Amino acid sequence: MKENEDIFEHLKKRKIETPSKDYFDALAASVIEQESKETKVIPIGRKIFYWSTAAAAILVVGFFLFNIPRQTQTNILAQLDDVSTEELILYVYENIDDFDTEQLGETLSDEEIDELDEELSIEMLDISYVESSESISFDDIDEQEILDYLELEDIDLDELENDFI
Amino acid sequence: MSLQQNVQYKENSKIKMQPRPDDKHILKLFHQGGRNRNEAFRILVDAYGEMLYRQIRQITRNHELTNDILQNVLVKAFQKLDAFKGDSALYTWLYRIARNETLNYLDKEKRRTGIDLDEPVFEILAGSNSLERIDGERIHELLMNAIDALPEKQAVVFQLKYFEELKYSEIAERLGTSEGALKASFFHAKEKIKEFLLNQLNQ
Repeated sequence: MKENEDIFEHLKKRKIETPSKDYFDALAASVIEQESKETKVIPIGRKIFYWSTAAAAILVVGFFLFNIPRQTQTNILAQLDDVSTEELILYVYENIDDFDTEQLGETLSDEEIDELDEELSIEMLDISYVESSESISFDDIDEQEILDYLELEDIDLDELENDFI
Repeated sequence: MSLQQNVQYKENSKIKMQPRPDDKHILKLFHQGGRNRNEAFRILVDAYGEMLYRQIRQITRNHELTNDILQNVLVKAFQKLDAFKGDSALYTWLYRIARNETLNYLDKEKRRTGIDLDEPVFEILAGSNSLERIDGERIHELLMNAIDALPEKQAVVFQLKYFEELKYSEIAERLGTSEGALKASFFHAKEKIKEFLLNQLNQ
């Protein structure tokens, strides 16, 4: 090819077919629905208002005592007298994945669940959104971790520089 | 950057173009969460969906593949928009995601056969001794590779100017840069593409 030749003068672009607006509206709706489901599937909100009740604390005691000899149960109950409700709730919260949330929920009446639903709306319980929007302190991430992440994401540092110029 | 009303009249009909949404407005709405987040995302797709579709399809040359990739791109955009700091234009950020997703997807799919491909994006016109020796498929491949080799900002400018055929004023508004800088960037992009082709065709 001659150096001075402008190849673009000898090229004709073909128009790329683009779907109608309905296609893009449907695509947006599909992504929103998919991402909304992902948020709801993580029942962190439900977990919060389950453990926040005293009934959860009682259930913890019940789990501990199940299939334990009577004498041992008596000893455990005596020791649990020294444990506050708040400490029990904190234990349940920190070990929530070990509990069956369905069973925890069964300890609550429908009225209690409705009341908690009103207090904690889905938007307030969008914990994944809140967590994702929390700013990350780069003091906690070392340089190698950042480089590894960039490599995984196939981000070229040289190209990144262009955005910061 | 405030919203602009663009009114365009076509022969024998009046067509009112929708005002182009402000990127800051989209981000602000998105950060509010809940229904506003979803509305912001719909506005984003409405503003950029078609351009992203064309960007992807000019590489894949197939609607089904483009659909799959675009879905991935939009999911990623939805998931990461909260963390977007605005250090580049929103379109530049989306362009980058679309480019990476397309290349990654095609890397995985390269063994796939039997896909119906669109006609090549480029048709070679008569008059070029150099280009007479190659066909549309080859020039398409070479040009896609050449564009892929451009620095990202130049690739974005080239995409918007050459493929989307936007005016410099429109591109300047989208990217938040001056028209002079854009003209220089587009010129350099074309020169680099010509140089790339020169090297490839003379090998």
